[in-house]
Amino acid sequence: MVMEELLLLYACCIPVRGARRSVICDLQRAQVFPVPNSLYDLFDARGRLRLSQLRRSNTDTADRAVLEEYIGFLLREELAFLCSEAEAPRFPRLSREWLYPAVISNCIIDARHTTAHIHADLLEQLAALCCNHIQFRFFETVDRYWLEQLLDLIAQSQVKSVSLLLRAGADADSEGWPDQLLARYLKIQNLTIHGCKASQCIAWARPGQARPVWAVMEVLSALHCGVIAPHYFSPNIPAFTEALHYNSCLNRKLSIDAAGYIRNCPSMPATFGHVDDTRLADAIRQPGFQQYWTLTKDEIAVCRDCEFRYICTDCRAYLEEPDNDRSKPLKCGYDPYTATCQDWSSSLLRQATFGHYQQQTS
Amino acid sequence: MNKKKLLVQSSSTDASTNDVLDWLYYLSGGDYAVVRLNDTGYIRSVTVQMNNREQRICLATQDRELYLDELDSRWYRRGRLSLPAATFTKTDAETFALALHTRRYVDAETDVVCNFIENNLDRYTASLNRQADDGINKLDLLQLAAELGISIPDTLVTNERQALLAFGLKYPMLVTKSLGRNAFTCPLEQAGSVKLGMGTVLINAADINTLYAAAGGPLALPALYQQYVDKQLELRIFYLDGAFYPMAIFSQADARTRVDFRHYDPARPNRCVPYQLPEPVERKLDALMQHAGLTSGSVDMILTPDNDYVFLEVNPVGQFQWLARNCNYDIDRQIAAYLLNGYDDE
Repeated sequence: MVMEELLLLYACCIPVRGARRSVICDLQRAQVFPVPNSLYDLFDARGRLRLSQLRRSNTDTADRAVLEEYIGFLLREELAFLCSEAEAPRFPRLSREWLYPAVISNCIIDARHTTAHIHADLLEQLAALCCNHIQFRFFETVDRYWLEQLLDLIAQSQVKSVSLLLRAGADADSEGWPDQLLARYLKIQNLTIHGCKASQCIAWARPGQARPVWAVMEVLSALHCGVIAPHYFSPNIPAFTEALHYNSCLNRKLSIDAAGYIRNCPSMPATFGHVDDTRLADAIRQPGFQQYWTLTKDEIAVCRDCEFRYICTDCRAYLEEPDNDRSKPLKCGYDPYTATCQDWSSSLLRQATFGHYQQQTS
Repeated sequence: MNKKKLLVQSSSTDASTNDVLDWLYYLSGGDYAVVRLNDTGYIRSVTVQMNNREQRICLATQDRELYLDELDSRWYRRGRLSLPAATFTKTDAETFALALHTRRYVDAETDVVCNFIENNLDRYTASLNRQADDGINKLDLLQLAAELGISIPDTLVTNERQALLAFGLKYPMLVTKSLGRNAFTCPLEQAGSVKLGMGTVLINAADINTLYAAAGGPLALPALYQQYVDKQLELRIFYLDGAFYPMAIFSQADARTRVDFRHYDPARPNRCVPYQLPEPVERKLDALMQHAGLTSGSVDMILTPDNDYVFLEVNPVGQFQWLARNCNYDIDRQIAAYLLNGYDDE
């Protein structure tokens, strides 16, 4: 490269500006780099930084040192590369389209004391919606042979992954059962057993993959959802492009609660018919079902000023202001105006709000 | 109403096939029945009936019968149509020789039938790629590229020591790679198998001198030697029916990947980003693919430090999932749409 006058961000490294600071989301290597807004502002809309021009205009020694530090950082982390003005058009930006071939991307199916609402026809309806990923949450103990029959059906279906939550009890506690399940049903992506005597993670290693089994002490319910935390961040192309255009939590989601009612989200109050008398395909076309699907973080208070808005999971079930469906998630302790973070549950105000949600579901 | 039928020939481990089928189901609303034949040896039996009134070709797999005239479209992704192999016991050298010749005879007989089926698949169905594409001749393509005015590396195919020595004097650094297959798997007598791969290998003057110094006549095999081409970028370009999906691979930041980008560092993969080919390069590549009769394929090129676009090869069955994912290209959707439109046009 002859005339090195531009510093160009790699197309997969996308800067996002927040109120106090910015981040560069590296969607290829799944990393997030916090950077000062002053660095963000050096780039134009196409991710180009005019190097020669900036070096000419920043003649002050201190400014120049900062500029050189920025440039060194971007090159060292391989977030940007040097190229000439003439070469720059050869590097188009990444398409912002969200590519996902499914009417429903994934589904959560809950059960408590009965599993009567989970049957072969339901799985067929999900297949017709191209839903390839299912999470089953059994809040109470489940019959071992019934569960194995269900997993046999899934083994022959188009479903690609299954996530399982089981309640500790006779079978789930029995020696080796989780092991047998993982060995026999390769589509099980992860398995959590709740209500155990102790909390621990045991990873089952097998050739080419390791599928974790978690044992947790708590007895879980739908109220445990909605936590916003850095380890839930998804700096990758599918999640980022979805968040640009859709709600990162509710878009194309479906759930069936423990009583058999069809919902967009298991933690939200609205239901759209019962599986006994409503086809899933009809339920998702009912008014209101897709109400939040296109609500992006750009339209949500506080989140719209947050630099993490396109890699973050949203939550519309538990809100900071329960009556304002465009307020920020209750279980997020990050303040983008100060760029500081505290545990969401340490706030008395938030605890009181959560108490309000607990009362609603009890 | 009967669902439309799509035949997919692939391998069970090919992730791209699943991606395309997901789109196909989604776009067609499940209005398609997909018959997927995986790997080799999947045809249990074959029956061809022909007379002056009608023709019927039936393939039977383990669990179904498939009549070719009932297919609406077909995607050849990978693999080979093949019938179960006849087995021969080899007890001594003599029967081994007999078995070898019998094997050749049997293969020739089967090939006629398999090729006939292959020709009929092309004839009756909207088809994306053919099995014959997999065996496309690398030298034919290099020749074609050169004739179309696409830069190619200076190339030598020889088993003549003297010719190789002279070529080595001209270029201090050469690469050699296989002309036919990149790898093969050989089953072992006792258990398991061994996979032998022939990736791109760099050779220098010392290697050539060693070859030259070995006594004897010509070298065992005529092999491909090419001048080593300096890289600014490596380009992997997926081509589909006139459309280009190019990706630039920044392989030069890491010394370990200087020969072949596949030897990468998993923790810090090479930057792979969308790329825009210059229009003249696109035009010539399009002509190349059309002349070669390829509706899709992956083209490997190098952008040299002097900004020359050098053609290396086309892989008609190459991986494109990593390309589509790194660049957020809708290749899977476009292939699915191509297969669906093939049926619409009938």
